[in-house]
Order: sequence, then C-alpha cells, then structure tokens
Amino acid sequence: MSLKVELQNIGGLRGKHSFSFEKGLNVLKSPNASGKSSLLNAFYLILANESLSQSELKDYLTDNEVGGYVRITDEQGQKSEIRLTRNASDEVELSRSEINISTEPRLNQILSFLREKSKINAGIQSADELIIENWFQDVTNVNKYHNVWTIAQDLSQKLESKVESLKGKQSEDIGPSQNLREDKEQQLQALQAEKEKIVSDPNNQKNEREIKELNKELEKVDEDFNKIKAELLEFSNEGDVKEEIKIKETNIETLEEKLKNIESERESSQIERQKWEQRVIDLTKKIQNLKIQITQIKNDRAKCADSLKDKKKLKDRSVCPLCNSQIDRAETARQMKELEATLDGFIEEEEKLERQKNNLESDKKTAQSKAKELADKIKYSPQKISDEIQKLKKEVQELKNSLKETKKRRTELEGALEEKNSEKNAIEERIRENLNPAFKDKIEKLEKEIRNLGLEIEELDVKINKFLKENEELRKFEKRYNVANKIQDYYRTKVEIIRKIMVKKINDQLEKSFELLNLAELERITLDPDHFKITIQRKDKSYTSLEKMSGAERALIAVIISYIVKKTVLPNDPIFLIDEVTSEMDDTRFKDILDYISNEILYLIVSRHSPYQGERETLTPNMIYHEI
Amino acid sequence: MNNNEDELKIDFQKLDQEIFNLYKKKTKNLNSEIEKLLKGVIDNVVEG
Repeated sequence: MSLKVELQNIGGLRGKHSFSFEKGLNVLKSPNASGKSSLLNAFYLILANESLSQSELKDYLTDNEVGGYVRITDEQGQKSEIRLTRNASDEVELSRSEINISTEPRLNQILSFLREKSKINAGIQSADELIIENWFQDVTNVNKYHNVWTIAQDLSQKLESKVESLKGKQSEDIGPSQNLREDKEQQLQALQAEKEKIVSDPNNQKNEREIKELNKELEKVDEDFNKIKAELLEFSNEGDVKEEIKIKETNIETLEEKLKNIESERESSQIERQKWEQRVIDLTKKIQNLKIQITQIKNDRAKCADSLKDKKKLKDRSVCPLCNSQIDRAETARQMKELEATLDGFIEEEEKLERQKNNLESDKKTAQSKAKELADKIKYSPQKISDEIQKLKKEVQELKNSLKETKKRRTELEGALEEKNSEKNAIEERIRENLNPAFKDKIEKLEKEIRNLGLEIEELDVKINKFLKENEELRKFEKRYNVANKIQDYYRTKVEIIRKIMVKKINDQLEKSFELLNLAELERITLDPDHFKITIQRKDKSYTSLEKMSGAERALIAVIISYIVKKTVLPNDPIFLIDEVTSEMDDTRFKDILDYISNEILYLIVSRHSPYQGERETLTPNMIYHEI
Repeated sequence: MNNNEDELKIDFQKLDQEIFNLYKKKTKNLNSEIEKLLKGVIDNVVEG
C-alpha cells in the first residue's frame, strides 16, 4: 500500500494532480517553480489543521481559481481531506473532513515539515540560540506554559504596583487621629453627662413632664441624625472616582491621537502596499520570461547534444553508413569541437538564467511578505484601538453616571441632615426654655462645646473612615497579588519541569541514535537542560559550536535535530517532509542520513531542485523519484 | 503581605484544564483570554 495524494488547484499546481508515495524515501525532483513546494504545502495544509489566516489561505489556493482540494489516503485506506472555496467577496474558506493522519496537529505543522526557512533550520544556520530555544519551546509545548507564566508574571507585577501605590496613599499614620478621636469622644461624653445631670434634675425643671417628652423626641431625632451622618461618611471616595475618570479620559485622548496617526499611516501603508504588490506582479512577469528563455535554451541544448551525438557516431568512420559518401574526419572533429563549445555555452547560459530566476524569486518572496505585512497593518490595527476607545468611553460614562447618582444622594442626605439639625436645635431650645433661668446660660455653653466637639469628631471620622476603606482595598490587592504570585510560581515550576523532562527524552533519543550521528561524523549532540542549548562533539572528541561548522554541516544538524525531536514527541507520525533544506549538504553524507531515516520512518519525502552529485544510479536503490 | 496560605487555595488542575481548552479551541486573542481566566481565578480566591 502507498500514501496517495490527490489535489486540485493548490499553489502552483493548477488543475488535478495525483501522486503515490511508497514507503521509504521519496525524492521530488524538478526545476524550481514546477510545483514541488506546492505538493509539500498540500501535506502541510492537511497536517497543520489549525485556523489559517485569510492571506495564508489565499496563498494555498491557486490564483483565479474558485476552489481546490487536497485528499490524502493512507495505507489503511483512511481519507483525510480539506477543501478551499473562494466566495463571492474573494475570501477563501476552508472546510475539512476528519483528519486521520495526525494525532497532534499543531506540532505536526512544525515537526513534520522541515524547510529551508523553518525556524529550526534558520536558527541553526545562523547559530542563533534564541531562535533555536524558541523552536524547542514550541515543539515541546513548553511555550504554552511559558506564555501563561509570562501573563501571570505581568499580572503579578501590575498588582504589585497597585499595592505599592495604595501603600503610598496611606503614608500618614492614622494612630494619632484614632487616639485623638477617643479623647474627644471621652470629653464629649463627659459634657453630655454634665448636661444630662443638669437637665434631668427635677429641681432645675419648670415642667418635668414636658422635658421628659422633649428628651424622648430629641433622642429620636438624634438617632436619625446619626444614621444620616453614617451614610454620608460612605461618600468619602468620590475623589477617587473623579481621579479614575480623569485617568481614563487621558487614556482616551492618547488612544485617539494614536488612532489619528494610524489613519494617516494607513494611507501611506496603502500606497506602500500597492507598490510592493506591483513589484510582485513585475517580478512574476520577469520570472515568467526567464522561464521561457530557460525552456528555449534547454531545447536548443538538447538539439545541440543530439547533433553532437550524431557527429560522435561518425567520428571514427571514413564513409557515411547512410549515404556511403566520404567523410572528412578533420572537418567532423572541427564540427564536434564547435558543437561542444556551443553546448558549454548553452549550459553556462542556462545556469546564469537559473541564478537570475532564483534571485528574482527570492525578491518576489520578500515583496510578497512586505505586501502581506502592510495588508495586515491596514486591516487590524485601527479597529483594535477604536474598540479600546469605545470600551474606555463606556467605562467613563458609567463612572460619570455613578458619580452623578452619588452627588444626588449626597445632596439629599445633606439636606436631610440639615433638617434634622434644625429639629434638634428647636427641641434643645424648648428644653432650655423649660429649665430654671439660672441654668439656661450654663446649658447653652455646654451645648456649644458639645456641638464643637461633635464637629471635630465628625472631621476625624471622615479621615479615619477614608483610611479604613483604603486599608481594606489595600488588603484585598495584597491578597490578589499573593494569588497572582502563587500562579506565576506554579507555571514557572511547570515550565522548568517540562523542559527538564523533554530535554532528558530528547537527549536519550540522541544517545540511542549514535549510528545516525556517526553518519554525520559526529560523536554526540546533547541539549543543555536549562536553555535547550545544543552542544556538539566531533569524532575526535573535541567540542565544537554551530558558528564553527560549515553551512552543509549545519544543514545536517538541522535535519538530525528536527528528526530526533519529531521521533521523541510524535513517535507514531508516519510522515516527515524536507523541503529544499538540503541544498548545501554534502551529498554522500546526506544520502546516508536520508537512507537511515527512511528505514525508521514510513514516508520520508524530500524535495530538491538541483540534481545530486553523480546520477541517480549511485543513490540507494530504495529511493523513489517523483518528477513533477 | 503574609496572608495565611490556607486562604489562597487555587485549583491548579482545573486551571490547567481551562488553559488547555483555550489552546485546543484555537481561541482568538488567546493571551487576553488567558489573562481574563487568571484574573477570574484571582477574584474567586480573594472574594470567595
């Protein structure tokens, strides 16, 4: 049984195509831009199995086609299929049937597909430890937890700043105010007791019964008065709400300014994007012309090679076998020389044109990515900021509404308090009228002192209440901060543990794969448990670094690492794709390594546009060629 | 800031599962969704 791939209108492969891959090593061999990468992309599309962006989907569907599909049938006859459909508004939609090939799609995308520009290859080629570490974190799932850890860390830092700012607000020690309030309260109680003593002494009263009733009335009014006062104390955070509104309004202004800049940038981005898109069109035309020239030269070269072959047949003859005419051997030799020179010229010219074409294709890719980058910028940024502004405006409006309500209630309460105060004064006045005139002045003096003390206590209460409220908020945020800290500690530990486990598994697998390393003329490759750092030991036991290795050696390391990690993380995944990553490799070592891998993996599919050194007869017999 | 540790019990198993679900669903704005989730956990522990 084989792995069958059927596709229609995927990338450069317009129309219907069908390929069958046998177990072992499959080599896709054809010139550039003939569809090798499109075929590998078809696998990628099936294996990726995650939401792809609109621009990615548009890249997968052949230009100007309304629909396409990829169908892979595995050796058990199970089918996996995706379909791409271009709708009326030129958006490409993806639909898929159940994916049977892969067990862990997200990783498959990275691990089953090593290509020239993949992160691991780019990292190893440029000996960039950060890129290498990121790739390892991605494929071992460490990044997922690392990401959560970073978010928790960020939250924890924000909460810590909040706690610090709340502490800053509370710099004043409230202890002396609380002591002072206690003293004032005692003084107040003493004065009230003194007043009570005078007022309740029947000897001092004109009308005992009336005073009793008035006292009852006063007690009730006093109770209401205190209730209103307590409610009024709750309004001490109005200043904070105002401050919050002010901060949010400043944020809105900043965002609106940013939005304005982006809008104007958008216009320039649009112009810039059109320029890059035009460049893509121009480059496509140039590449097309070069392709035509290359085909022409190939035809001419083939004709020339045929003529040379004919001349070679006549080289040692004096009579032509077809027409029996005499042959001028010197003339034949001269013509052969001429043809050989022409043939060399054609080969040289073909190589020159191929190089030009490769350069233009690389320029085209850069232009495409620039155009895409600008398209994304135009599409998303302003919307995100507008949403943020709308959200803030809504919050400000809600705060303003609540402040309005608060003010309304405060005015109501202040009015009610004033009313109760007048009632109190009136009752007290009536009580005083009912006392013997000798005590009237004394009582009046005591009431004045009581009122003043009451005002002083009220002021202290506002201060203490504000402190207590802030303190309560501080405790809440401290608790929040502690929880966030606990979460970030948990994920930090988790990241460390998973990293250590994965490094151990990969190192074990590398240790077991000494034959593979031997083929790459290496003694050992190991990973550092803390940073996914690669250490390489050569056959002579000396240690080396990626920087000191040749491009071909680095390409081999990329294949080995990618394969070993795939084997560790996805041991049951039957497909491994290598797209052009091998162009710089030494052919003999590369051939041996592919041979080794193809014995372990079911389907190893490699694309390569340039021929191997020597002809295909020199390669292992189990290599299967697919010419596209 | 030395709160009693007993007061800060977090169900990490549940949190791990919820994070796994966010990744599995290929949630858009993943990071802000994770942040929301963590804030929710913090609020629950503090308020609850």
